[in-house]
Amino acid sequence: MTTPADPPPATSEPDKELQTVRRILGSEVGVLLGSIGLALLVGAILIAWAGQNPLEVYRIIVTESLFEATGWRDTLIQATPLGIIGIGLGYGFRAGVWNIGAEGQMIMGAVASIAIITYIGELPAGVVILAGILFGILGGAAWAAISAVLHVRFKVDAVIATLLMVFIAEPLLNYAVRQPLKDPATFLPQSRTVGNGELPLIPGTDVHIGVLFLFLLVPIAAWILSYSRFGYLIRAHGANRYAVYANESRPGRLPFILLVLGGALAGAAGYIQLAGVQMRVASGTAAGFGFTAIIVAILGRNNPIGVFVAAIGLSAMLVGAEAAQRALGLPVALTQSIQAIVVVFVVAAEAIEQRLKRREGERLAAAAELGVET
Amino acid sequence: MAGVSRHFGLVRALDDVSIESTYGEVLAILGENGAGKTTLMRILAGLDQASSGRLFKRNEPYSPRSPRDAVATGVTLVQQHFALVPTMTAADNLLLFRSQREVRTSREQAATDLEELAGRLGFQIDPNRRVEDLSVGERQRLELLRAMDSDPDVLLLDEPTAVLTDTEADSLLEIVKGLAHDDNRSVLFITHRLREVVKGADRVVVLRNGKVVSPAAPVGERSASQLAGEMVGEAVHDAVRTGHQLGEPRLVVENLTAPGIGPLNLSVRGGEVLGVAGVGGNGQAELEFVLTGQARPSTGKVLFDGEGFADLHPRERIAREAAYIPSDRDRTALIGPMRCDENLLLGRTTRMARRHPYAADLMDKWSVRGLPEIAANALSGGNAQRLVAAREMDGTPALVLAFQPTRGLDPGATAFLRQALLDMTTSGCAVLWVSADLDELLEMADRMVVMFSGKLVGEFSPPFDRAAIGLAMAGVS
Repeated sequence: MTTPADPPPATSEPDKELQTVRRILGSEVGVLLGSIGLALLVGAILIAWAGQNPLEVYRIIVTESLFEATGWRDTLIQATPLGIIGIGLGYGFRAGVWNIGAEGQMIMGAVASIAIITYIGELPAGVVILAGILFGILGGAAWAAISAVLHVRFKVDAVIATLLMVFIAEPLLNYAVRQPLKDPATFLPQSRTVGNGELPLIPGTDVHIGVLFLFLLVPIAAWILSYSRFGYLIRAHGANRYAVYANESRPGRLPFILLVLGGALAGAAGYIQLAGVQMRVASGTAAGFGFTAIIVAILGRNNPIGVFVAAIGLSAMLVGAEAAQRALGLPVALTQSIQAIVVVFVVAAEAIEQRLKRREGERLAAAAELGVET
Repeated sequence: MAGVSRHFGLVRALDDVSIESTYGEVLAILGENGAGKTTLMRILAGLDQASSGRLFKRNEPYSPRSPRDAVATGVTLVQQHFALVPTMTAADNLLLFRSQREVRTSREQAATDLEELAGRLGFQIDPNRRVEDLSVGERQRLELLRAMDSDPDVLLLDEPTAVLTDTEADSLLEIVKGLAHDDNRSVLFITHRLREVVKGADRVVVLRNGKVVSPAAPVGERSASQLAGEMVGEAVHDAVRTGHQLGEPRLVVENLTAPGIGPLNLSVRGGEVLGVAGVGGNGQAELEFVLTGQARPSTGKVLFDGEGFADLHPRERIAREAAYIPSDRDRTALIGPMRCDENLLLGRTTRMARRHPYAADLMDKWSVRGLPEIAANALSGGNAQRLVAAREMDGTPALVLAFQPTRGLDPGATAFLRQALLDMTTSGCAVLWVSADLDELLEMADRMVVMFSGKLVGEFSPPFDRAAIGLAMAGVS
């Protein structure tokens, strides 16, 4: 809440307010951990009901996703598109702009990438990779721009304008892999492989360098949100858009930018997933990452660092649960239920926390009225 | 209530307060912002609980746990801040606050009820208009109507006439008195306007810093200046007009029309304060939106120093040194949850990294009591408005568009804002000052126009003829 440059508070009265701010932050982490603990407890009941030892299941989930080498790798690789998309969506959500169409934007990013890669695939790897990511970003951004025009120009609700474009992107993808982009060497509806556009591995690991993109993006995005003019406008727009419209920018301008930015990041994730994992585009290429990223953004409180933690956490849960299914023969529905329970509890915790904050805020306001005014 | 205290942490908002009101009278609780009036009302209405002390109603212990509790015992509160649903109609907002059983009332019935209630309180309201389309003044009236709907025997009013004009306020106070005297209700209202106390209350209690500084006594027993002294604890200095020259016309509005207003013609000269008087809801909001680029004019021109002004981008307006004090501070001027220093950046070119020292300087210079890092919504009304003034008017603005700049403020902040606005004129700045407070404009304006039904219906120069202006505000020409 305070920058390092802030001088120490001058008087004891506002000092108390800062303490209150810290207490609220403290409670935020407390509520979050408590809610995850409760969710795991409820999950444990479910597991026990299914005839398994809950501790054993949780142990497998944790060790397989975080402590085994292959688990780490899978967790990081899955977290990468989730985190990249989640950061873009989180910016929007923070400003009150509900882009829930990242799935389609990711698809169109991947399609644009593979299109250019198919066309210039013979060039050196560096050029192809740069072109791939550029077209991924452009593809996602352009797709989101259609939603943005619908939303800003024609006043279509952002949720609807973004979501409906997903259902147009999916058949377009199916068409692309059957006709213009189809790999002539196979009979399957899929594109050629990325060839020279493949992302290299980080030396000494078997993790593709796309993961670094996320690690680079997180601090930059976090800095922008807290300390740049643009981040300031995002937060201001979310807290009171009318004040922004009266003093800073025309209505709709920021929502437009944020929708396009969310699409650009989703498109970048589309390329990274394509060139780092899938190697070619086929039906179902986005595999739900665009939708899961919505949960990631919400769990991460729309804050890049929180989104990063949520992406790793959710990804670890996906990877670990898969391992637990294999090791213990658990039904898929059970592990999915546990994931869902965690999400519900964390989101519920946020509602409770908002209530606590509001109460604290009222108290603070009344105290400030007296302590600061008189 | 006897010996009631309320602590917020170590802060005592109320300190051993004992007040007794009786049926059939209007008791005014007079105090500045921060005196503890609002906390007191919140406790009475069940929105907050006392830390210690007890409440009694008709000699029975009274301890409402919620507003619903309070309403059930016949106590209702009209809050200072609106609690209306903007997307619903006025009549639906009435229904919303009825108990489960009565919600079965049909919409038509609710509309009739609302109009009837409004008639009894002496004003008109269109039950089928949506609240977001109502002006602030109309919303305030709707809040009053809604409180009367449950026919309470104890009515609490929190700064009830803050947004009403003299005539409206007088008629409201008359009705409130009638409710107390004729129907044997107990009415408590909190205010910092002496005029209301003198006109509307039978007895008055003065609060300062959470304590009763002068126990309830009949209004006539103390003079207005005595009461004012008890309320603020120090003499209030009125703004002083400094000698200044009127220059060329700077802001010129020609044949301006927009939905709800026009055609309007006016001009403000450099160094001049043009007062726009009028009852709230007569087109002031529409004028505000058109002049500040939040709505587009249908026809006509707004020129500032000869160049087009109405359709400017907000940053362009600011670049041309036009300050804007909006009428709805919480909605248009401030971002409540954000820090004061971040609020001071809105629309400015100051860099984020410099926000803290920049804000500390500005807040010091404009006497905003608070710190750059606390949230703007933690400031009291007076301090919040000083914060807005600091952002908008620091430096040498060429034009100030001030809409209800002192509404709802305590006397100290009101005097501060008035003086600040007057000081602007010494450097040749043109000031357009829209206010529902006629006394304020009589004192501050170099010239005055009156707005009625979206049109300017009269122009007045000093010495102002109060009666003539009053007639113009009532639509009599």
